[in-house]
Amino acid sequence: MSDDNFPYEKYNNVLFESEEEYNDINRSSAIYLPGNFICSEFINRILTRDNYYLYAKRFFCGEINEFKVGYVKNGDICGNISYSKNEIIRAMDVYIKENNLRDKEVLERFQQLRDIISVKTFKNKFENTSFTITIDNNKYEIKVKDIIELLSNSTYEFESICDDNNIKELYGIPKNHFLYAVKEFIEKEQISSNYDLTNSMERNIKDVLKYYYDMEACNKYLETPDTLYQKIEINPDFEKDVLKDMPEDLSLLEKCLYIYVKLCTLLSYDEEYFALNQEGEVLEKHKDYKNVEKITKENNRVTCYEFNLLYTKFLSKLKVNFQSSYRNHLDEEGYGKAHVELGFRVGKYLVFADSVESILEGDIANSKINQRVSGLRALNKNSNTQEEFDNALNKVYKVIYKGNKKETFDDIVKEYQKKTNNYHDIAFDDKVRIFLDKLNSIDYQGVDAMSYILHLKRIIFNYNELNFNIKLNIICDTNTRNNDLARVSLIIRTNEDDLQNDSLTKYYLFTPFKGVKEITYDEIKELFDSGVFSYLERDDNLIPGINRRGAK
Amino acid sequence: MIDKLRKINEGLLILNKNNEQKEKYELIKKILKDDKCFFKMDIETSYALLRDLEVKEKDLEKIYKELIDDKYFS
Repeated sequence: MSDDNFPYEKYNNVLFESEEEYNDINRSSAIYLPGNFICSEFINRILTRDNYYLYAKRFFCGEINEFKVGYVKNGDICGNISYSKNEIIRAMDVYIKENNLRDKEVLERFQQLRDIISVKTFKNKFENTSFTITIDNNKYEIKVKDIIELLSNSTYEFESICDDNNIKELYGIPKNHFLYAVKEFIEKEQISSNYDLTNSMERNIKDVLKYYYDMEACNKYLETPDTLYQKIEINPDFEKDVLKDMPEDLSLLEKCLYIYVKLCTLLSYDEEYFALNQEGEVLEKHKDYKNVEKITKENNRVTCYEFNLLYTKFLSKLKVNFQSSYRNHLDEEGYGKAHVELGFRVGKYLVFADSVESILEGDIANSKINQRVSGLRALNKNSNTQEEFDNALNKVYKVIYKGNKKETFDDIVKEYQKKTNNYHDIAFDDKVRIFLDKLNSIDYQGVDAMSYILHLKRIIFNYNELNFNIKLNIICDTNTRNNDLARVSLIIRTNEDDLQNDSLTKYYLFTPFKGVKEITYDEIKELFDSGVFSYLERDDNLIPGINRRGAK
Repeated sequence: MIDKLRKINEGLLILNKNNEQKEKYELIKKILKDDKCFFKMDIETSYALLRDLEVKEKDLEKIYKELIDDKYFS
C-alpha cells in the first residue's frame, strides 16, 4: 500500500480529520462498555469507511501500535480518540446488535477483525512459547500453554484451584509464584486489551487474579535498601524492656507485630514530631539520627521518624527485609524532614506501617488504653491472609495485655448492648456539635491534643459517617508559629449528605489555643496556595481540588 | 463524675436485685470499673448507659461532654 493510503505513518499513526469531523465523532452517542464509553461514530466509520477499516486492520494485526483519530489546529496535533482492540470489537458487537445491521460487508468486516484477535489466534500465537521470569530469586521458564490451560478453566474451577490451600503447586511451581507469573505475562503481553477472550477467561483475569491471591509479596523486599539503621544502636536497657516478655514461640510475623505494639506502649510522642519544615535547634536535634540511641523507658519521647528508625533496627535483628520511604524525598536524606512510611515482608505477608497513622491516629495513645493499633496493616488482598494477619495481631494483644483484658471489656460492652433498650441513633448534626464543642474546650498542647481529637472522632462518629460524612485533614500551619515550631491545625469537613456532594460541605478550622471557627473552601485554598498551610498526611485524604504543597 | 455514676448504679442494682434488669446493672458496674470506659465505647452506647442510669435526656449531652473531657484522656 502506498503512503497516500496511510498518511498516518508520517504523523505517529494519527488518522486526521477536520476539527468539525473530529467533533462529530467525539460527540456521537456513546456505546457503554464496563469501564469506558466508546464513540459510536468511530465504530460506524470502521464498519463503513475503507480508510478507517484498513487502519483498524493494521492496528489489529500489530503493524501499528495504536489507532488514533485527531485533527490539526494552528500547526498542533489535537484530539485523541483511541481504544484498545478488545474495546473496539466489543463496541462493534453492541453497535451491530443495537442497530440491527445486516449489510454483508459490514458483518464481514466485523468478523475479520474479530478473527484477528480471537481466542484461537491467541492460543495459536502463544501455546508453543515459554515465558521466563524471576520471582523471589527463583528463575522459572513457564510454558505458556500451561497458563492458557489454567485460564481456560471455568471461573468456578479457577477459584477452587486458587482457594484450595491443599494445592501448593501448579505445573511444578509454587502456586503463588505461578499465579504471579500468569499476572505478569498477562500484563506484559496486554492480553486483556489485545484479544477477544471468552467471558470466563476475562473474569478469571480481571476479578479473580487481581483480587484473590497472595501475589503482592512476590519480588518485594528481597533486600533492605535502608542504611541508617546500621548506624545506630538501641540502648541495651530499652531493648531489654521491649523484648523481655516476648514469648520465644511466636512466629516471625507475630514477633514483628509484638515489637511494634510494645514500642507503642513504651514510647510517647514528642510534640516536636511536628517539627517539619521547622527551624533552629528543634530541627537540629531531630535531624541527628543518633538521638534515638538515647531513647529509654524514662526518656521515651519520639518523633515519627525516630519511631520508624527504632522499629527498623528491631526488624533488622529479626532478619526481616524492609524499606523506609520518606515523603517527597528520594531516600534517607529525608530523615528528620519528612514523614516516613515503612514496608516490610514476612513470608507471604506484605506489611505496611504508616508513621503518620501510627502517631497521629493515636497508636501510641491507643496502645496505652488497650485499644487496637491502626497504623500497621497487611496489604494482601486475599481475605484469608487478612484474617490470618488479624489473628496474629489479636494473639499479640493477648500476650502484651496479659489475659484478654481488652477483649473482656469489649465483650462486656457487647453483652450490655444486648440488654439495654436505650441504644438509639444520634443525629449527625448533634454529633458534629458535640465534637466541635469539645475541640473548643481543649486544654492540651501540641500533639496530645491531636491524639485526643482523633480518638474523639472515632468514638463519636460511626463507620459510615467516618467514610462519607466527616473527614479531618491534619495540616502544618505556619500562621501559628511558636518560637521555631509551626503548629498543627486541623481542617474538619462535614456533610450530612455525602462529602462527595461538595456544595453542601461545611469546613471548620481548628487551631490549638484558638479553638474552632467556620471557614470557606476558597479561604482554605488561598491558604494552601500561599504556602501557609501544607498537608501532613497521606494522599488519599486530601481535600478535593487542593493538592499537596509544601509549607514555606 | 464517674464516681457519681458508680454510686447511682449501686443504688439501681439494689433496687433491681430481684428482677431481670439486675444483669444489665451488673454489666454497667463492670464497665464503670474502667476509668476510661467512655473513651472505649461509641457515643450511642455511652448515651444508652447514661439513660439506664436515669440521667435525663436534656442532661445527656452535658454529662457526656464532661465524661470525655481531655483531662481524663491520658
